[in-house]
Amino acid sequence: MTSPAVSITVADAVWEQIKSSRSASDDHLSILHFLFGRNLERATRIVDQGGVRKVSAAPSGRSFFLVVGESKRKEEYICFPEHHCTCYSFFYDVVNRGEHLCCKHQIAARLAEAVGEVVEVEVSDEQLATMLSKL
Amino acid sequence: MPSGGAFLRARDRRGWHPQGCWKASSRPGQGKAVLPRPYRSLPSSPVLLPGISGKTSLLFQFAINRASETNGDVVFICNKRRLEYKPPFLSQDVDPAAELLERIQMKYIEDYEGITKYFAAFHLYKSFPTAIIIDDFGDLFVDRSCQHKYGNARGRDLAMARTMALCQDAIAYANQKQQAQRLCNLLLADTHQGDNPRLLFIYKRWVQCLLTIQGDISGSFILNNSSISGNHLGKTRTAKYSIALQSLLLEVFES
Repeated sequence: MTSPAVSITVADAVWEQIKSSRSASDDHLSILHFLFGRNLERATRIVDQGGVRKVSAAPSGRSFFLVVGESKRKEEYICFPEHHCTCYSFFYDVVNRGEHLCCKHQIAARLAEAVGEVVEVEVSDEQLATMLSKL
Repeated sequence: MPSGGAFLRARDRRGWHPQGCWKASSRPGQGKAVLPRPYRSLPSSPVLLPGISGKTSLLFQFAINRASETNGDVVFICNKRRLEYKPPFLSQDVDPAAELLERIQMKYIEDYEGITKYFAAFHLYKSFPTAIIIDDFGDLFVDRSCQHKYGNARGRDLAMARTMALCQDAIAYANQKQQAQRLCNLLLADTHQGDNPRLLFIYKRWVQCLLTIQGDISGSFILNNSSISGNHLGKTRTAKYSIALQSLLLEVFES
């Protein structure tokens, strides 16, 4: 079984390739599917529906992602794509049980940024601080 | 694997702790607690003391070392009442009146929401410290208030995970802006009972290095430094130290 660290390294390399070409090839998707399983499909649906926003603060440049959930409530989750999401699946499946490398919202954020399907939102530094303080 | 800080855990040891003696000095390090350079050991005379692990003293020594190495500032976050009740012991070569100590900024925080606000607003600072130390990290999270906030029986665990993620994000942001020699390190410390802390599954997700303090049979303390790689603990280094005559003392250092 591949160690999580190796899987993450492979995923990072694939994200970089997608980012440089601004498109995901079948090979890329195949590797990502191997790593992330069904969460990749769920993530692509979120991206297709325009459910990823990147909130960036000016002038500092600090940022995070807001990703829409798939439930009817359309809840938005705060996401640091490399290492955290505020959804319960991240806590239970990724952190607690270690069953997944990351949740679908993290994948959606990475994918949307890599292919340029992110909705950019600019806020002030103070506004970003207020949003993050509610984490 | 996210880059990040180090975690220092002390095993709660009830009972007595004999004293030994050494002299501490500085040693460079990044992303982990700084271990003092070894010094020739001095004769020890056992003295019984109430439960002390020297954790806070070690953290303060790290703060001093880091401020000295980088000429930068260090932020030391802790509970004010607890620090006043049990102030840290300095090593004998540290002058309490030294200008260096003025670069250690004490920040008194009562709960995890204070930590959240601090790191949420981190990008508002014009300059960043070269180390942030949070003592008794776990005590900032009270079960009841966390469960109430998140409406979840695991509220405390949730809060800890989110706080650590926010710390990670803030430090990563700061380090993008810093020069290599002035990178900001994060060091968290906590105390637990037993061999394996229950919250290790949370800590190891965001820290690269785990340091453990436990008492040994002679009444000194052993500090082990293990890097975390994947799900495994890697290479280990060890320092043996004690508290003697209200000073922090190093006995042995092994790599």
